[in-house]
Amino acid sequence: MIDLLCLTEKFPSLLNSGVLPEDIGARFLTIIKLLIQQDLTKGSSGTTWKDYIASNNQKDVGTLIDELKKILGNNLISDPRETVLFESDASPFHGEPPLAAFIPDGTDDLQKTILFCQKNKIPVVVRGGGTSLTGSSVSLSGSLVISTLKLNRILEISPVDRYVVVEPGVRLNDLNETLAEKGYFFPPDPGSSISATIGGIISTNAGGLKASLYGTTRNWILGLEILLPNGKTISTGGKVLKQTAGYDLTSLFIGAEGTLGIIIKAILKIWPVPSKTGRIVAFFRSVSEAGSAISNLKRLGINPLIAEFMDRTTMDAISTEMGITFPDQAGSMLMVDLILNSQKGEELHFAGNLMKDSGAISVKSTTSKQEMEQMYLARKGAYSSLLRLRKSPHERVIIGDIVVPVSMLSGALTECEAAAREFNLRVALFGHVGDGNIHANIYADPSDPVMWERVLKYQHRLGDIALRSGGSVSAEHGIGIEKKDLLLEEYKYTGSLYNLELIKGIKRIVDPNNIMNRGKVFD
Amino acid sequence: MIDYTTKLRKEVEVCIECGFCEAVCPTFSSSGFLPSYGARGRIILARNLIEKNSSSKFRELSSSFMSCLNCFACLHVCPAGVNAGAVSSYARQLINGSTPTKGTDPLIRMILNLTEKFENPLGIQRQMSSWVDSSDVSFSNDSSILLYTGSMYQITPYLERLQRMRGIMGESLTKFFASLIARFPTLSLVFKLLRDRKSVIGYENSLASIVKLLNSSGVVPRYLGASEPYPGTLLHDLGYSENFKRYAERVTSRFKDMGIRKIITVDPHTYDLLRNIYPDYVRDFNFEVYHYLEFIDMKQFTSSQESIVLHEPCHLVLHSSSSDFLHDVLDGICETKYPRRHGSRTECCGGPDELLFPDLSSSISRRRLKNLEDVGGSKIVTACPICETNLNLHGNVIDLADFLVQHHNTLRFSARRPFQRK
Repeated sequence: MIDLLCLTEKFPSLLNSGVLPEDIGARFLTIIKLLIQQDLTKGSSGTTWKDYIASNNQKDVGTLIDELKKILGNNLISDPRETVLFESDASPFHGEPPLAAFIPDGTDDLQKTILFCQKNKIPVVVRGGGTSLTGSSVSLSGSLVISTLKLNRILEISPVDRYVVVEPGVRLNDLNETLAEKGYFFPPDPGSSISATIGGIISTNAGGLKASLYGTTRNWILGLEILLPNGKTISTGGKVLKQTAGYDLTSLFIGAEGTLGIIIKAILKIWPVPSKTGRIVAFFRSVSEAGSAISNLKRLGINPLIAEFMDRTTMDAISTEMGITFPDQAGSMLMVDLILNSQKGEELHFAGNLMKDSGAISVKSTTSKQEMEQMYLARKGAYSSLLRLRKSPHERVIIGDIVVPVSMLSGALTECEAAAREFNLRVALFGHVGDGNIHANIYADPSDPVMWERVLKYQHRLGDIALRSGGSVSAEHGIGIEKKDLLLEEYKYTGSLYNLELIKGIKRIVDPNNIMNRGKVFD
Repeated sequence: MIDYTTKLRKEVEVCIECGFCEAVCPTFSSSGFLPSYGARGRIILARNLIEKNSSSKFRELSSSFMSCLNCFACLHVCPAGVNAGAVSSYARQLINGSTPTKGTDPLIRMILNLTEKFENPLGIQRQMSSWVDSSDVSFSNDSSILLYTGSMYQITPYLERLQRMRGIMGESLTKFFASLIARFPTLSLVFKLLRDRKSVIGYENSLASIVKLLNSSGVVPRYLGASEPYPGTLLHDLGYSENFKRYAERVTSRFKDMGIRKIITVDPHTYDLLRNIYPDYVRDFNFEVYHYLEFIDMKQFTSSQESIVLHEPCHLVLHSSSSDFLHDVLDGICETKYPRRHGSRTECCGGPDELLFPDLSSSISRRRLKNLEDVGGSKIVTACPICETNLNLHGNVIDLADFLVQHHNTLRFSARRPFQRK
């Protein structure tokens, strides 16, 4: 079996050499994979993936660690009691024991290390804040985990040119606190911004609340410096707001979840902090009405800075945990922020009236910072409140993450709600609905196989709702381990299965030995 | 006895491993981002400790729990409400449990033995009340309100000197002497020689300032002088729960015998210990516990144009539900500026790690001091002798009580000032 596996490893280069026609090559590869699967299910060889890695490395673990120590000295972390802490992230997925971990403070050792891993075919998992919700940053068996947290310098800020140059380990909140002192900000703001790093949010193309107006991380990356698995460093993009010099290689690495290379520097676009904003909180009888209200706002040309939605289950959790009360008859809540350009904030009045016309039973608006903060407390405490209402210690709150066109929100929200009832799951809905992003928070015990089966089915249904609405199975959390099959579903649904071949082709060119975050995003 | 396994399980079970706590954990960044020195890592290790029943395996990683500063910064950012500081504390109690063994750090053994024998962690209880002799302050032996210094201001300069000696002697010689003193506690006489006059006077002045402020606000408390027992803070912080319980009961019965009803504390650690920890260990600990700032008459101060930077101690701001008195007292006196991390995000000075992890402690205090200096005020002020000492290793920080006396309408600052140590 090992030989077969080795053949599939080497096959792409054979394919690329042009010796075999591509379609024949692909079919041949499929046959080999089937043979391997049969072999594995028979259990005839008893060979595990770890054994395979070991045999492929042709060196035992001790030798590999000794050789890595020669490169990295005491900076190599190989004590299993320490490396066990790299096995998990914020997702329900648990990784496998890594070979070792390394926390570089510069790029020199990093390059030597990656070349060593390349030569010895050691899987590499790059990790920032370890906040992935889909398992992107959990360790792989026998891998070297590279933490970027020491690469945390803000290298250059140029407000005039609207950019900042940073290393990948800079935490998002730290960056924005520094930029705020100059009156600027970097708009992507995922819920994990306190801990998430720039490298991490680029790798998952994170969004957040303000993506409603400013878009996701992709819209704010001007250029990258990447260390490739072959040890070469490339620079993409630049310090300018427009550039059309050939293929957009910057975009290739955004959302790649560490499968193509290591981001070692990033040029980010920054923007002035809006001078005046106002906030509206509106309550509706149903989730459908809230969806329609957002759709109506956008139809009339209003682009909210943020537009946050929550359902009754979420409101009840907040009431229980934080003592904040909501109208009894409210089935959903919208919190909308607008940038105010008029003197008296007429935009707020106009948007508030639109909410009423869309069926709001109660609307309140303000421009007072204190009142805005009070209103924000509920949204800020939503996830925390949901977490605290778990019924057993093993229960997790799995955050579903889909996106639909805003015009389809009303129907999609109703379907998400109905599907939760159908699968008999406790689900709380909230989301950044200004860009159609719905988070279905599913209470589930991953150790209960019957319940977990229902959760998987519900996740697939969510994906189905998104696709039928013209959206996507993943809005801002990435694919990781969790959504590999859903990504496949999306390609099938949109008739784009060839995308997967292209992606795999790119992966083969950039990372022929498949060492970078192997098995994440796609198999 | 407290069931630490259950308490620990309740905390770690609800953790979702999101890592928010790591972003604010001072030891995580100062250790070079080693997960076992971060809040999330401590929770995972604690989970392994109880789930895999592998105390012996993880005992070797007890430095992970011992290095936790118990600042509770993690608690304030955790979406699931997990207190990684408490996790470390419970894990310490589980690992250490009762009496120290042969393998226990000799410094810890020495502190435990001296506290139990002399009611003072360095065996120098007589030196703890010398500040009263040179201070113009009033006490009343009939009062049911006790001024309880907890010896924190008095002992800090000795500990600071001890650390300097440790640096000169090296670890092995320090531990040799510590094990000798642990075995023969009367040898602790040697610690009297550690008295750094200039430094001691500085802290004694701060204590005098506190009592002067209380007196001028109409509070004339009782003070136990040389018989005041140390509260046992280190016994608890080092994780020797059974020793601490016995000791705390001893201190409490002393207070009860004296008919004390209200206790005024002067430092955040003693305030936190008596308000939040003692009631868990001592049955019927029904004293009213206050911080001295709660008694200060705010009308007595002259306002100034001065702009100060306030370092908020974590045991006041992060361990207590309300610490408004710390900020209220400065309103109207001066402009108070804050570093980036303040309020519920305040950052520890690193002081609690000074004894067992001096390098880590020094790295944390340097970073915090830089953040405070970057704000740009005329003075950096704090309200904790441990914060003051640790930050003063690299800069110049003054005690809030001294600052308040300087701005008092009638009180005059002691001539033995200013106190500066660099």
